[in-house]
Amino acid sequence: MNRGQGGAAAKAANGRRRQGKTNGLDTIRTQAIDAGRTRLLVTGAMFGLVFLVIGARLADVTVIKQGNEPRLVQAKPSASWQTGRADIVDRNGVLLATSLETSSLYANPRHVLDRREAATKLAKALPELSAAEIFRNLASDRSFVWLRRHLTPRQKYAVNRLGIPGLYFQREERRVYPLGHLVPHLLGFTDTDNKGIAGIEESFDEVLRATPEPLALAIDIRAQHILRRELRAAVSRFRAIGGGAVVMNARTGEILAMVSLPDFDPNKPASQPPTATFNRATLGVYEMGSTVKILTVAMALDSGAVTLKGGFDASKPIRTNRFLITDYKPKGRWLSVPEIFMYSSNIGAAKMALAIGTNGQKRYLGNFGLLRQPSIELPEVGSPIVPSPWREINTMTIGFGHGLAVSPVQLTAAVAAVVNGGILWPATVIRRLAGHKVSGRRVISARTSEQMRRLMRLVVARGTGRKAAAVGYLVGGKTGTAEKSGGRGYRRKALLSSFIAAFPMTAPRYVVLALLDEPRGRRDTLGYATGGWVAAPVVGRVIARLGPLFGVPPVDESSPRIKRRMSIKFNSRRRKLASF
Amino acid sequence: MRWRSTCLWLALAAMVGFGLFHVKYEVQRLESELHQLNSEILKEQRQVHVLKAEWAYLNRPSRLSALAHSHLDLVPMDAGHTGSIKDLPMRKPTTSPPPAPHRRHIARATALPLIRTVGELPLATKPLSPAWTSRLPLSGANPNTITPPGAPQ
Repeated sequence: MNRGQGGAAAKAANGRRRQGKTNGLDTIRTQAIDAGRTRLLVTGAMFGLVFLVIGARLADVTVIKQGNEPRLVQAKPSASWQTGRADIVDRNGVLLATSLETSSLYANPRHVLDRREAATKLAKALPELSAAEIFRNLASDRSFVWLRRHLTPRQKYAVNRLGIPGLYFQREERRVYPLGHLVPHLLGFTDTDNKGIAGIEESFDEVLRATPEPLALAIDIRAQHILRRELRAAVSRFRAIGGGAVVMNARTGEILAMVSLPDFDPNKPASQPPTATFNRATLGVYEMGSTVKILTVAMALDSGAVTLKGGFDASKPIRTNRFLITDYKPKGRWLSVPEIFMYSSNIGAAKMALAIGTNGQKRYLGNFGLLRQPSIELPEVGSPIVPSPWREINTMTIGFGHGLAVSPVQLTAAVAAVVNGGILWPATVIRRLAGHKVSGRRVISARTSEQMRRLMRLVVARGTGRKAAAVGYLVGGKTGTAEKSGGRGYRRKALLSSFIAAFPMTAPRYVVLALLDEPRGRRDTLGYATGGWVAAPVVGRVIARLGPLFGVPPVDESSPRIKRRMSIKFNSRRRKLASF
Repeated sequence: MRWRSTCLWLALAAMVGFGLFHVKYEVQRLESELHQLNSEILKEQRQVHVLKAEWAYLNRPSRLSALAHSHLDLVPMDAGHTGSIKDLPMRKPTTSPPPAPHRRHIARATALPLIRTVGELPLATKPLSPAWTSRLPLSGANPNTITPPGAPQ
């Protein structure tokens, strides 16, 4: 356009030049200046426009706030430091397992100036290494040799102090269990690459690696300490080969304490005999003996096979072609149901089991979760040993706890269901959150559960479990003394003595089981090593300590209100012995 | 006139340039400080982690019970040490002020284990009248409201 204008102006100028010289020249100059001005104006306007746009954008970006801009810009918070494996804590947050950074010492022998001197000096700083061994390592012509893994900070300082060239540290992580022997079976341990190979460490291996959040277990370290101490005392007192014990919350199935003896230090898992790492509470399955009568009586009452007023003739032992079922202390007469339970009559329990019938017994035991592997979150879980085929004789022996081997945790969960109103909660080692709903399953009616609580109280108040009476906590329980099977038949001297109890019996909150493997009688127990003499005192002492710890309000056991709630009528009509 | 404006603009440009560099160096300094603080935080976190492990190790129940046994005059609590407010007898209202407790009694009272009640306190439903509370020797902290930490429900 400019050019067109320019062309038109030039033509006009040519025309004027022909008209007159001076006048024409003036006109031309004026017009050229005009044209120049116009061009400048247009160019300037364009530049101005562009600068205006840039300025506006600049103001927009820097001065004017965008809607999505934060008011105050904050630096990104620094990533918090975390280990490669999450901690494990108890229900109150007490640290049970953690990963600590350690330094491992290695050397580049080519950089070591005086190998002999270095070896002598190092052996002084690290007394567990010999100078000859270090020298042998340093004498190799490799460029990397491990001298010692996982030094303590003090050892690292000592090595640094020597100032030997050619020694280096590699930062590593190591799993540490500060409480040592207290919870080894539950926690398990890891291998040198920090991979869980037993217990919680194995079953929650991926979880512990994935999230930095500590894993909270159901266990209470104080209850665990009390339980372990009492069980240890009993094991050494009765020279037993081992023992197991469980404390369970009867209303949630949470395991608050779990002990298996002998135990080990998870910080040094490699040097343990296999008997120590064996978890008797979950992996061991035992014929529990008379404690199973709790379940037999519960299913008999619940199914209506017998009432509390009923009873069975226990005057004569039961003979079958292979077995002879006798009572430990025969009463030699007809016994009512409460008496059968209180005196722990095998004959009565066997007859009661027959009254329930094989199918009924199977169904109830299945509901109690005793016929398959429990769903507890540990790799070491034993499967029950169930008779196959299940004959009538099995029904009878299972009635008093022989012929069916279950783990202590299974039995504890089943007894918790019997006393808590009839709801079976799956046993768990993980803390249940307050709002977390888990589906319990009703296995017996609330009425049967109420009757069973009275019966279990009767055993402690007047029967075989008197040594478990922790005054004020209204303990109810059942003794169990089983002969261990060995080879063919049962060994009379190898006993498995146990006691299972719940408290307070008005509304049970906790179930405690203690079990001793092959205890031997003492003079002060009159040579007895039965559940009532060996395991019941353990449970009694544990409950006396747990009650105040868990804030269970003690009650006056002799008050009329409590007596009325725990009263039980049993007619002990005596049959004349002369009748046979 | 032209000189003046040129000087003005030059001065402005110099000031803006100075300001820019000043801000830039300040930001650099702050960033290095932030970086240093962050690395210090990480270091502290590592040390806290180690201390936590040590704390757990030193608080092993077996060690605590051994220490309590050798240094303290306390015994484990049993059912007899626990009571409820309901079990306390009501004091007869008297017009004369209560006698000042003897020093020996205070010493013995502090050596006693705390009475602890669990469940509903009658205090919660029926507050004591001010005439009563003012006469109680203990004012302020009420030892009866202590509940065991982490007691499972």
